[in-house]
Amino acid sequence: MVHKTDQLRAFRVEELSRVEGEGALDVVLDGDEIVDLKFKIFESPRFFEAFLRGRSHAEAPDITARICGICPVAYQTSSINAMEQILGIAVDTRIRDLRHLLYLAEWIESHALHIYLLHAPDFLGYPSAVAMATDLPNEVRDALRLKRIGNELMALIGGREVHPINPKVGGFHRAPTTIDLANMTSELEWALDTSLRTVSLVSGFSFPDLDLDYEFVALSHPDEYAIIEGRIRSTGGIDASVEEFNEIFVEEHVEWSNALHARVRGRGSYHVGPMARFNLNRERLHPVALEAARHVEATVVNPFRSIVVRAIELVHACASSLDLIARYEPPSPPAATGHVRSGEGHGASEAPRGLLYHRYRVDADGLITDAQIVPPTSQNQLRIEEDLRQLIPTLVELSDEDMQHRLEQAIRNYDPCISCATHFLDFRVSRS
Amino acid sequence: MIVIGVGNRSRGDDAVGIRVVERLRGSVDCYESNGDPSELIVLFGSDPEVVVVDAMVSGSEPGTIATTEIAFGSTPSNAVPLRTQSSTHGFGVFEALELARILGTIPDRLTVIGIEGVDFSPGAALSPAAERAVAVAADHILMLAAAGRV
Repeated sequence: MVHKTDQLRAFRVEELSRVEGEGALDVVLDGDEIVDLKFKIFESPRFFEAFLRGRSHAEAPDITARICGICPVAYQTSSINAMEQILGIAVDTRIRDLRHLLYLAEWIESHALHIYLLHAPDFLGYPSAVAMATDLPNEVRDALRLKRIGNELMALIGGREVHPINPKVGGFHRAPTTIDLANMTSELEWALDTSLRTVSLVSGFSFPDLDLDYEFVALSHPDEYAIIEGRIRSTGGIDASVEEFNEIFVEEHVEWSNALHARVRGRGSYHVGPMARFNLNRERLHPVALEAARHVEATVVNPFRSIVVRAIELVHACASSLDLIARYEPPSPPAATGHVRSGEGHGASEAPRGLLYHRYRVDADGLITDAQIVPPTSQNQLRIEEDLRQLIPTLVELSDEDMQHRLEQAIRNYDPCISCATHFLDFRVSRS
Repeated sequence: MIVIGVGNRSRGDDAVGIRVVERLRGSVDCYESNGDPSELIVLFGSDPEVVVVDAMVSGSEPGTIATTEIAFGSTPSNAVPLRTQSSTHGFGVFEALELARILGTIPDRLTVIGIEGVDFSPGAALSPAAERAVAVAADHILMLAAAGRV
């Protein structure tokens, strides 16, 4: 029951903590009426799409990796997919498997970080992971080791753990040896056990009641839990190729944010990320992860329960990594080659935070003439504001401090990567 | 007896830790780190004597070297000013020290050497003041090593 007051309450969270990048939240309430609500992204625009123009198609993976220190492999993979489409490259199973394994390593690192160090403190009542470590040292120790295992696997395949240098259009510069990867097995077995314990741990958290009506959007693939490629599907009936992205979605500028708001054309907001993937592709999870999810509702619509889904995806990432390592044979040669030609290419993959779409135009010399990058956080930005609008009426009886905390937690449900979202500047000049 | 240089070699004076370690290679057991706590905590637990070298911004004169010794059992949160924000950006050396203390993996003796930086722009070279301080800090660590301290 909502208690109505006559007070005008204004919240300003000047600098959101435990999110990647710089954002803020402004809310003005009149009683339980929301007068104004803005989830602001004020991290500086970063112009990646502009400075890709004129660069070689082969540089796109290295340049776009720099958009994010947490999910560089996602940027590399989406750009590589787009460029391979232009160059007419189809990679073999071994290259594809290695690409998949590198991506899973990024998921392990990113999901472990967010579940334990950024999001769990919200549910357990601690201001930070450091504060949480006093009471839960084993959990924090596990989190750091999980993250480190993801980092090590990334470094092994990618050449280094942040902004890998080994992936390229067509495959890899060099393939790791079978022994290199086999040496990760025991650590990954520990990670799998720990991720299963993580599911139990986070499933026991208490979750605010908030069931929302979402259109979930994610890549889908007939044979696997889609990460490195797939068709775009949604719970609202979208079933489209990646090439159709701009026909389905539209990006709009809003004055209070340096990130674009995305929406489904003719409809509204949509939700990308772990909940979307899980709700659309659950049956294709690794059998161990599917079993770990047996107590989870058929469709997860409470955004606070995203932490449970993220933990299930952590199980999937660890179990699938072990399978890929067990059957690994070094690709030889480690990269396929194509023919430089002009054209347009589209690439998408499932970053830890959700669908990441790239589009490039390349000229006959292989130079980029146009680029478009749509990261998950800008796709979720409008949806995050709508979550907050629906959450606020249930919170009006809370103190300002408690309400603010719950609103910040609701933003962290999305693990927003604000640095990723601000790569764009809509630059227009008029001359007379 | 290990030295950890923390920093980013592409961000001007942020590279001081890495540059100190480059000078010490071959003489002392050295590691480079980007400051990720999950990595630092493993390194902290790997030896009873650890030296960490990192850039600092304290308002001192550029190139100023500050040395803080943290003995086992002390509380780094008093010895080292912990930042209050905990974003993925801010999760670094200080948080790693505090976490290591809580998790019981702090070394018997930990020396943090900070070098005041002035220019952290992307692609910048070390400032002259930081360059001089790197040489002094490296010599200081060699002296500690010769004295059996490291």
